[in-house]
Amino acid sequence: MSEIGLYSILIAMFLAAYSSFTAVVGIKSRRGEMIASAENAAVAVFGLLSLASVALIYALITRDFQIEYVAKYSNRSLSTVYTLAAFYAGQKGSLLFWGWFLSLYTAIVIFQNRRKNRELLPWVLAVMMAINFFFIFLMVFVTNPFERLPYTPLDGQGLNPMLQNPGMIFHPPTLFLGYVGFTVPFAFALAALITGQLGDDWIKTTRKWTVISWLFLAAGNLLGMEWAYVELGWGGYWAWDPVENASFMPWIVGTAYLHSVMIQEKRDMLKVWNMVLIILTFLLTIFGTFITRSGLIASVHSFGESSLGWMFLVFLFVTLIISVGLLIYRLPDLRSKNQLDSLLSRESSFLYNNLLFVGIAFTVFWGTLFPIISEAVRGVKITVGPPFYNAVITPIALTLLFLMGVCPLIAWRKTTLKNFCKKIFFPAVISAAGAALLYILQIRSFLVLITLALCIFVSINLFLEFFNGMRTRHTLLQEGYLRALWNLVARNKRRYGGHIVHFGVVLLFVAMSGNAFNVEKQVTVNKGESFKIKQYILKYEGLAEYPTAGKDRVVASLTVFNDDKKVAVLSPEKVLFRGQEQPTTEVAIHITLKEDLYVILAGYGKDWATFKVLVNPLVVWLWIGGVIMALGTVVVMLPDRRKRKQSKSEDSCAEAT
Amino acid sequence: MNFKCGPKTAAVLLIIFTVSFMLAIKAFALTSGEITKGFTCTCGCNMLVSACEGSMECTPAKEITDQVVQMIEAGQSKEEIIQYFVNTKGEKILAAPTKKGFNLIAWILPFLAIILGAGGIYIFIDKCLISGKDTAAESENYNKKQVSEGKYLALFEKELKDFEL
Repeated sequence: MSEIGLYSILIAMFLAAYSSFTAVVGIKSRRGEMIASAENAAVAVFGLLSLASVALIYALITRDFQIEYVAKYSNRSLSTVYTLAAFYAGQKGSLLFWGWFLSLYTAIVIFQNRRKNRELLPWVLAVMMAINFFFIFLMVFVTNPFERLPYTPLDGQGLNPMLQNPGMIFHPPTLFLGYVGFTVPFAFALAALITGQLGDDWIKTTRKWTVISWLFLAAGNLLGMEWAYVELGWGGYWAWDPVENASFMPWIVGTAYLHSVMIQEKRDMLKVWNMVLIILTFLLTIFGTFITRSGLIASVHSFGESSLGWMFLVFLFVTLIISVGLLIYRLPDLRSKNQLDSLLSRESSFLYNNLLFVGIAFTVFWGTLFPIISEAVRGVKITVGPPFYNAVITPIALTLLFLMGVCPLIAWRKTTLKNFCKKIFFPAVISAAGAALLYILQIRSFLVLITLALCIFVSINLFLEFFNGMRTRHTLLQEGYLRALWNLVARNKRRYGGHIVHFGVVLLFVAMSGNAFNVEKQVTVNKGESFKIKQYILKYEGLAEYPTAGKDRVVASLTVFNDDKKVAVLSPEKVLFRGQEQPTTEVAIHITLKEDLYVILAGYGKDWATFKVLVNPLVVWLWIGGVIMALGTVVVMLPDRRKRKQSKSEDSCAEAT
Repeated sequence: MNFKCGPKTAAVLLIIFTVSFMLAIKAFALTSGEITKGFTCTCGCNMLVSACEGSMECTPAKEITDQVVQMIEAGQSKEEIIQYFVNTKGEKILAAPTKKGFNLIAWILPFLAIILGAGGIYIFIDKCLISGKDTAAESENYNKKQVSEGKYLALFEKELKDFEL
């Protein structure tokens, strides 16, 4: 089976090159059959990479330890679920996974555009297949997932215990879906630059691709946070690690693109800027991959040092040169009639938010690279960690939050200062009153008060957006309130879906503000003894050991009382996997809307145990906010029935004529 | 809802609100966590000492924490403790660059970039506003032209009508 996989990627590599080359020749020589052949080759690449993926999964399931990848990332005691997840746990498998996703996306793009964008498609195909050729080339010559060992080990090394968490099943695929997804708008952007079709057709075609990729990247980041929170056992969810930064940067620039692209659609402006943003987003996905795989920057997540990273760096530079070259070449054609009526307009506010988004991305990029720059200039190794990012990004993010609240109040084209102040007054007073109330309730952190005041401010504005729209429909069209709300959202999904996403973001800010009130305690107690943290009393009931084939689990039992009322029994664990020297920690969390009681079993003896206990306020709102963001994105993505009817009638008219 | 409020009143209210809460910043007593949250673990995990200690059963992280606790108990100040660790383990132990010398660039550049970007946006908007005025002038000329052409067209149509009669 592994031979099938090996030959599949080998043939796929040639077909990817053929598809990319033939698409270009086909469009240049205006030969439809060549373009069709290029499309067929691209679909064949998808088939072959699917076959290669199946072959690797088969090798993992059948424990074919002669394959180096299988021996390194699985063992006989690994459960089926994690054996499947091992497919993308290592460098080689993850590249195959990436390549497979890219080939799948290419096949979908071909299918979607079989009757439209026929001028752009060959170039889109050429770009996507060239990128996939690079990935498959790496698989064949540098990191072959089907590489065989000269001997067959009796058992494999097994999957890293930290990866044996449900997060492993969902986090990497969602992140990859996001990363790879941004290839589609990037390819269309390059195709538009090559063909000179610089209108907003390519933007409209790729709008859903961009939104989906953005959603997957957001979900990937959030799932990664959740995974870090429950698995790493330090009580936090974001550590500004270089690899976390690598996935955050394309997401934040992609967010800027999603906003600025609306200006091009509405006002035919910012064509150059939108090109820059989408190119930057794609390049940042490659930069992230370079960081993860080069070993250049130390990270708890990285795949380790390898020559692969440098190949990504070369690829990054080649892509950068081609993209910037095309952009400069088309600069005269991209110049649009930029007309702004006022400094205070929706268009201008989008420019300000773009500045802040890109500012955050730049800060993260700069912070990630600064240790290398420092070492090169001063010869001194330094670290750029959470204190730097928190200090620099917090004020920028809060300004962005303020803009998020202000934007719905500003009209397109022009808003007078007087009108703006009138609109802002009521939400500003309520949020100031809310902050004053929080101050009275003993919340004395300035940053938290500002954050929560802004959250109230944004929430009120978002609420008023829905409420005013609903009331208008109710008054003018005599619709019931619920029907009016439904129709309001249904008739402008993009706008109100966006508002829902923004409300999800508000909840993320609320959750993050809770960090300021984390309480931490480390205690050693004997069996039967109790200890207190905030209003919780925890009674240590004892230890139990559960040896299994693959691991030994030591489970502590704690009864939790909240103000004398029993609320939970928590079971933090220490797990020693076979073949591992260090035990890993499985935390136990009692989750409420107000706070998480987070318990780590730090050490244990015959009758005693040491616990590290944290009370982390508002964490659950992070996950709720994430779900609301996803829901909002789904609303944005829902098909527009009116537009569909319109395009159907246009199609039937075209057929009739 | 109709509120009588000028821009100045709103701005003053917001400034008063902001300043009053800025004054509420509170100092905290020195704890080992406060210091170890500023240190990166030396085990190579790239995590903060406080984070690594909880998650990895890390020996270097535990040693650093124990030493910090001892130094606090011995009455040493935060600055003295940090300086001791920088001297013994190098600048790399600090989780953020110091705010002096070359490292100052790390702190300043992001804000400088945003200020420059804001300047760029201001110039862009200003240019767009000017071109907007040009377009408005062009549009006015075009409208005048349309009106005069319309006038001649109406005259022409009237003459045609008269001719037919």
